[in-house]
Amino acid sequence: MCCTVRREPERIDTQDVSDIPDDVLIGDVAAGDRDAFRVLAQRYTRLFYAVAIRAGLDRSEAEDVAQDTLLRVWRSADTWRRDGGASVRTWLYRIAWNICTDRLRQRKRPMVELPEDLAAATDGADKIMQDAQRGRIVGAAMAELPERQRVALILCHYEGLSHTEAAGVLGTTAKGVEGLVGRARQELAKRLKKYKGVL
Amino acid sequence: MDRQDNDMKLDRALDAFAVGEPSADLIERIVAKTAMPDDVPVAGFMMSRPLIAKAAMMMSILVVIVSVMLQMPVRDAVVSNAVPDMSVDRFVNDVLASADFPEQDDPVALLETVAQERQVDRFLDQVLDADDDPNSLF
Repeated sequence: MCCTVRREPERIDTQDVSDIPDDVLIGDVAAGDRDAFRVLAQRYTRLFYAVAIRAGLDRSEAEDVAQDTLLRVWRSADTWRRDGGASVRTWLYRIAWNICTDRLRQRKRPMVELPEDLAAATDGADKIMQDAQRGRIVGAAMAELPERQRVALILCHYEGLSHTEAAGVLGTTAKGVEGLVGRARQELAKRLKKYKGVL
Repeated sequence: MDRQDNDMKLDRALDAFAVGEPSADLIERIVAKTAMPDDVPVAGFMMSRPLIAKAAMMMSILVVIVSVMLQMPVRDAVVSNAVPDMSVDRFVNDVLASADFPEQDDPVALLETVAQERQVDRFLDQVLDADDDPNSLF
């Protein structure tokens, strides 16, 4: 009896997708399963968008980054296993960050700039306004960080990647990522101390 | 303790950096893009976009190679052998160089002289040939 079975892409119920592992999804995407791709897009679109915004891109550019990343995954999902044995999450963030970096380099300088009078503006503002202004100041200060420090901080603090996973995205060691994050935090604290009420 | 406190303050500040939400239809737009056919018709054949890109790249490389070859000295050698320079000036200069004619400024007169000389040569050749022929009038 023949024991070779050609695996068909799994039919995925998109209402209950939280427990499907990424590597199963990528395998199905590589086989051309658009349902699996939809699940992957639901899982990662917002994350890629957030990475791009925090890297210093505007809303429309961040949406482009999310779209370009996922379409690249659609076209080259079959290359994941050949790509150095990284986890799917690391591989996806690496693609997203490469696309993000290309866009940041095209525009030459970060769009966000630190306004000079925000320290005074935070005085007496209500809580929501204060939070919004604090967010703007933090965003502007992050945009001034060196690129690798910025991405290390984004991946580890906001995206919750381990140092090892972030090392896979950045092409360095876990120790190297630890150093980058430490320096990024020191640099940010130094910059944010200038603004009353931010720290 | 002070350092821990600073770290917590920095974490709170970092968390204040909200990014908002992408457009509500972004995921649908992305998924819709995967439905676009990868193959497009080119001169009656269905070709994939990557194949078209590769073909375009190969054509570009070919054009560059041909352009470079046409700039090489071999081009001049090939062309000059295949199509000799037939200009009147060149012809006159060649005649002047190969024959010991008195210098003449008028190229037409020079050509007439050459033609006359050749007629005389032909006539003398005929006479000399006829000398060996027993049926000749001479």
